[in-house]
Amino acid sequence: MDYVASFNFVNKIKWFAEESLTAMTIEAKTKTKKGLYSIEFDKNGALEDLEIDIDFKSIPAPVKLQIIDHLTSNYKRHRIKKTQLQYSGNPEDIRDYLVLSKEKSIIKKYEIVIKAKNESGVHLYEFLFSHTGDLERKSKIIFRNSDNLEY
Amino acid sequence: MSSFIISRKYVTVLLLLFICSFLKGQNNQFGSLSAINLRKGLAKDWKLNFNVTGRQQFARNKLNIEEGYEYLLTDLSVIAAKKTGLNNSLASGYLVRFEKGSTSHRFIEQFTIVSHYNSFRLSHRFRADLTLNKNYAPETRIRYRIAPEIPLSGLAVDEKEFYLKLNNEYLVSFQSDEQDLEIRLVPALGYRITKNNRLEIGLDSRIDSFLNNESRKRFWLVLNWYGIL
Repeated sequence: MDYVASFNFVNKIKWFAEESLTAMTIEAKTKTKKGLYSIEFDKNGALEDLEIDIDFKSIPAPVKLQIIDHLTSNYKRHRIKKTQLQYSGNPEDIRDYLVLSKEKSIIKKYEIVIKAKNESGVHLYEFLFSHTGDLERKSKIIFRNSDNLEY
Repeated sequence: MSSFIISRKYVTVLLLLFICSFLKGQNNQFGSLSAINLRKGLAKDWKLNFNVTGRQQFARNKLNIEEGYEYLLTDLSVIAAKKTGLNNSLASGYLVRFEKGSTSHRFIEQFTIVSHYNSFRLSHRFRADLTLNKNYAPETRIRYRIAPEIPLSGLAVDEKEFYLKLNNEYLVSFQSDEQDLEIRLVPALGYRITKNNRLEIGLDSRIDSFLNNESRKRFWLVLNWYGIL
């Protein structure tokens, strides 16, 4: 909590505990002028990463082109649903970089959610690209059962 | 926690309003609806939904004649659904209704869209059904239901977590030369027991016949279990 407070966010911070297929995480979310901030911690309180929602168009041109090239060559059709700039590394360095604009050696990546069509149908995928546009991770988003909303 | 308290207050106020409305009315019915929904997943994005619903009357007040407990009907249905997109599905099914002295057969078509937002899910259900009963003229209904599901903790409903669901449905029915509009509102509290099991408890309030006659109000305590085979 102290770490999140040190950002001096103006708007209200919402805390969430989430369970994924592999682990439980604690997330703090708030809106800022730069976009929606999501600060994610593991269950022991160690920072996992900090993500800021951005416009896909704001990614530097060469990186953006490399990402688009990867998506167009692997999917018949795709649509970008969400783009986040992800920061990881030393927590204090991340804060100093974002709050005080100090140059720090932090890890910057792009997390992108796309709706894409391939041979097996239409699916939602989450991609993680390095700051140079190299693919590091891809996972298919599985929706929760929605029977109680359909019947 | 605060949203949970607000939600509890909201549900309590709604309940009180419905009970007051029931006590004041002249054509009201109060009872329970208990349903078991089981889903069986099949290959190629197909699934089958089996449903058993029992309806009981606890009290009825019509033209100042009061009635007490009565077991009203049992519905059995099977619906086959095919995923037609990322968040939508097309379904077709059959329902048989057993009630005192008669049996009805209902044929169902539905299209559902479930949208996923940051902190809730929202479903839109478009349904058409045709009911056949040898004692009555065939009845066709066109229905639209909107239903948000809001987690009471976190961004999504995980195991052992509560959520709120609010169904709001509009039904237009056609039978012989008559048309009617029915409106349903079902606030419910849900609990995800395990990954594959959910329990919901709520109050299903229905109002119809208000276009041409004195309105009929029906209130059902709802207990739904959703499971996966």
